Amino acid sequence: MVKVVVAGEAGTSVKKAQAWLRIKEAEIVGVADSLSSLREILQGTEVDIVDIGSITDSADPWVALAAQAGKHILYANDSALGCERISLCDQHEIVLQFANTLRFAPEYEQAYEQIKNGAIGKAGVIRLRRGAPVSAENVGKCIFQELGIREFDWLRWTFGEVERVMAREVKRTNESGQIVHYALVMLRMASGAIAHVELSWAEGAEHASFELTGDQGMIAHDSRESTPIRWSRGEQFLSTTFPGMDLMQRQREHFIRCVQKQEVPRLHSRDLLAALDVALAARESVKTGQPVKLMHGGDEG
Amino acid sequence: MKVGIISFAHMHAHSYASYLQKHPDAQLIAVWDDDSRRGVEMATAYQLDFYEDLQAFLLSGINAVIICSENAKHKEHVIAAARAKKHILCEKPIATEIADAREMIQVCKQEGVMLQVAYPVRFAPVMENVKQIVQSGALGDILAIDGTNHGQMPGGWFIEKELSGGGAATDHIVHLMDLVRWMLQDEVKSVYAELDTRFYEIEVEDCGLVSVEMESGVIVGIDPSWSRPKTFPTWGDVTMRIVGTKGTLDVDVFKQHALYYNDRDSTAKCTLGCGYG
Repeated sequence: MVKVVVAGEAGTSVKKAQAWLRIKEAEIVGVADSLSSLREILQGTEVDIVDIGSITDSADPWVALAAQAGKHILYANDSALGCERISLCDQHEIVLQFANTLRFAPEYEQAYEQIKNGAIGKAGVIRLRRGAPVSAENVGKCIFQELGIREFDWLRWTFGEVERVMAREVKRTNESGQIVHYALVMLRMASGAIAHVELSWAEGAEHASFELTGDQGMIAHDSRESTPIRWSRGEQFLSTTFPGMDLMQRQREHFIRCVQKQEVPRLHSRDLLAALDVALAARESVKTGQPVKLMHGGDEG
Repeated sequence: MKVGIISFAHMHAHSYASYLQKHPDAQLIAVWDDDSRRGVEMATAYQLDFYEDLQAFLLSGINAVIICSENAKHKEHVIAAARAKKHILCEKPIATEIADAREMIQVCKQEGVMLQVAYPVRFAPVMENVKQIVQSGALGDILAIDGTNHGQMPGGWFIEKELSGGGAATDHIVHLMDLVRWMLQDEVKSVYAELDTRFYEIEVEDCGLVSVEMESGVIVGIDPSWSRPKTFPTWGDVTMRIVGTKGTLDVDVFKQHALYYNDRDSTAKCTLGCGYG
């Protein structure tokens, strides 16, 4: 049995706890809603995994605490994690996994497999979109890093290294004083494929889509048309996740197998750093108005 | 008004011919084509007089011409028609070189004839409606337009560079760029593009992406790729996401359709008004 502590600010850990409860090999041994309670639990209890949720201030001390105690870490908000914390985890030889990834999202995972099996032939133009509502939380945040990193990682995972990045970004204040924030990114992959990533903090609701074209076919997905249950109630629109496709649970099962050394992490920390490089290149491109070339450091196949 | 068609090289010539025949105020009477076999065939199909000589065609009593020759020949045909004082509707793109386009516009001005370039999407009822919404301010300040004009690879002279001037970029960027300029009353400040040939073994580009910044700061993405698979249920698309401070408008110009799943031919096809393809 793998022993898990669910950590994070009060109220944020319910969904995570539910995901762990569905996993037979795991047992929740503690819930920590503050740094001090996490410290206490780690001192007095036998723990294998710390699942750290999103934290308003820096999550660095939480990650550092768990890493120094030699606990494997599943961390929600990957884009906020710096290189230092990642190398700290490497030093302590613990498995560091990032929850914020498309590598376990059913449609994206399946598309990855189809692409690897040659379903669309030679990739041509890849279109990805991700949108979320305007939110005060996002003011001052980097849209490429916060919203785009999952797409950049998935692109690298599926189509290989990125060679060149060209990006444009616009911000405007709307009538209610909120910042509407939108960006278009163009990536030239080392394989020659051309990718388009639309990132938007200007939407009515969260959505994501992809359209992957190649010389033998095309795969398309739109979250707005991929909801098994649609629930309309007056003005409200609620959609639900199909339990059989629960990525939180599947990712945690994979994580356990990594901790038990049966599998290697699907999303390695160096992949995350490489995706971060793409986000930073996009930011640089916005600043200069010019495309930015990326140096290849990764060994993604 | 009497109208003649210069060349049936572009397949849209057929649409023009059939619309002109239905139009109460127009009379399609003549055709000129440098491919005389095609010219004779079309003259028979649409009951027109066929001319082998361009000057004779221009003197046939027509008031206006529709030019559907290969892109690289637009200049020669527009200038010849303008000198003969004929009003002109020319297929897009206007020319394959900017200098040629300028000269064509100049000659038409000098001769006092009307030169129009075929941008039919402006006349799609959907697009007129979209323009009204944008210009009414209902979307607030516009931040961006992300558009596609996808198609299937047309083949023929479209992929012979000396006749077409280029591939997907030449064929498809102009539609969206025209719509953006028309709706926003704005001009382009800077352009970046990635173009390539990745779908077919052809000499011209078949795909790419364009990134544009307008003078106003609005950013624009255009995907002109011939990336629609052969099994795609329609010829292609014209789509736009228009993002404003008060909302986002998703436009799929030819989406008003029904889908026909046909087991006899193993196809699925859009039916109803699926555009000008």
